[in-house]
Amino acid sequence: MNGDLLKLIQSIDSLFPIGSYTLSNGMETYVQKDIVTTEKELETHLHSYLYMLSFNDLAFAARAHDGADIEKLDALCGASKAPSELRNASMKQCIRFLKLHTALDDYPLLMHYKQLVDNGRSDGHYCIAMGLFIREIGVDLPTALELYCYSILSSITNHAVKLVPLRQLDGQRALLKAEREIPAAVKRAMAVEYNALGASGCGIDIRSMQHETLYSRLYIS
Amino acid sequence: MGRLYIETARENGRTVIRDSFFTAPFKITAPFYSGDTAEIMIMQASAGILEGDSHEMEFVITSGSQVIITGQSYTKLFRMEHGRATQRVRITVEKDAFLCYLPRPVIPFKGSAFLNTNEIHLEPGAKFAMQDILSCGRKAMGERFDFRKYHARTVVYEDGKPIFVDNTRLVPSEFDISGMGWFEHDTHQGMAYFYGLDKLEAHETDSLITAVTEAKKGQLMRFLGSESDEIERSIRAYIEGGNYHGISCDHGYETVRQSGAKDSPTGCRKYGI
Repeated sequence: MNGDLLKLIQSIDSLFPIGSYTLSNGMETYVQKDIVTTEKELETHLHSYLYMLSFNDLAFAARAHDGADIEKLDALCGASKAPSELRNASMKQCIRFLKLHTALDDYPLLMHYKQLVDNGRSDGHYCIAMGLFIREIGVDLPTALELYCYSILSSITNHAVKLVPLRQLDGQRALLKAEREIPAAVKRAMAVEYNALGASGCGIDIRSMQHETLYSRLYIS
Repeated sequence: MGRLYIETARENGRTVIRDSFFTAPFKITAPFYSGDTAEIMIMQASAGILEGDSHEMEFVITSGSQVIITGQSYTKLFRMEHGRATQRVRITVEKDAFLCYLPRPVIPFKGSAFLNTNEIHLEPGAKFAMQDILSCGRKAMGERFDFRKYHARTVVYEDGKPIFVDNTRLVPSEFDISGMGWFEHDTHQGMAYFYGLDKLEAHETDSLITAVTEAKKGQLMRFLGSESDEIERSIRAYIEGGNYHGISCDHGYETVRQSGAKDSPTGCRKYGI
C-alpha cells in the first residue's frame, strides 16, 4: 500500500479529530420530519446528496487540487454555502484540518491557505483544504475524491442508522448502493463548469436551514 | 436581443428615473409611488421568452433612491427545439439606496432551456431584497419538469466580494429533481435574499415549507410549495415586516397590509391568499 494513500485515509477517517462525526448535514432534519424513515428512503437521500456533492464539495476540492486561485475559490465557496450551519461547520473542520496537518508535516499549500485564513483574507473551507491536501500527498485525484466522498456518505449513513433507527445491515446496504454511484459523481465533479459550482437543491438547503431551529438536536448541522 | 437600462436618483425629495434606455420587447411604465418609494414595472411586448432570445437588463439605484422593480406577468419560457434563451441582469445599489427586485415567477414550458445570470453589486449601507420563483411548468396542464434546462445563477457582491451565491441548476434529464433534496414532491420553489433587513423568522404553513438562514452576509429564505402566488405574497409580507425604512409595497398589497400583515410575517397567509 502506498504510504501517501494512508495519509489520506487517516485524514478522512471519522475519528480524525476535526469534528466530522458531529455533523449530520441535514440528515437529522430529514429524520425528524419523517422523510427518511426506511432503508429505501436513506438510499434516496444518499443518491440526491451525492448528486449535490458533485457540484459542491467534490467540485471545489477538484478545483483547489488543480491549482485554482484559492482566495477566489474560497470566496465563491463561502458565498455558495448559504445555510449558516453548513458554512460554519465547513470552516471549523477546515481550520482544525489545517492546524493538524501543518503541525504533522511540511505542506506548503496548506500553510499558505492557513495564512490566508489567519489573515482574514479567506474563510477556510474544508473541501478546499482537502483538495490542496490531495495535491500535497500526490494521490491521484479521482481515487482521492472517491475516498473523500465515501467518507461523507459513510458518516451520513451512520448517523441515519442511529437516528431513525435502522438495522446496521440496512444502513450498509444503502451505503453500498451509493458507493456504486461515487465514481460517476467524481467524474462529474472534475468536469463541472465554473458557473455550475455550488449548485444545490432547494430541499437540501431548506432541511439544513430548518436544522437551525429543530426542537432537539444531537448534531451541530 | 432586448436591452433595458434604468438609473434612478433622488431629486427634490423624490425617487425618479434619471436615465433609461430600452429596446423591444422591453417597455417600462412611469413609476407608481407609495410614499417615497417608486415602483417600476417592467413590461415585455412579447408573450414570453423564445429560443434565441438574449435579454440584458441593468439597474443602477443611486444613493437616496428607493425602488421596487416588478414585472407585469409571469415569465413564460416557451418550447425551444435545440437552442436556449439567456438573460443577464446587472444591478448596482449604492449606499443609502434601497432596491426590491421582484421579478415575477417563471414558468418553464416543455422543452425550454434558459440561462439567467444576476450580478448584484451592493455598497455597504445599501438595502436590497430579491426573489426568484420557479414552477414545474404549466401545472394545470399536467406539465411537470418537462423543460430541458433551467439555470439561474445569482451572485451578490459587497464591495466587490461575493457574499451570497444562489445557483439553481436544474436538468431533469440528468437527475430526477421532483423528489428528495430538490422539489421534495412539491411543484414550486422560491428563493428570497435580503440585505440590510432586520432578522427574519420563517413561518411555515401546511402548504408552504420554508426556512431562513444567515448567509455569509444577508439572509436567505427558501420556499417549497404548490403555488407561485403564495410564495410571492409571502415574500412581500416578509419584506413589509422586515423594517426597511419607509418601504411599503404597492397598491396590490394594500389589502394585505390593512389586514394586519405588517405586524405579522404570517399575516398574508392568515387571509387565505
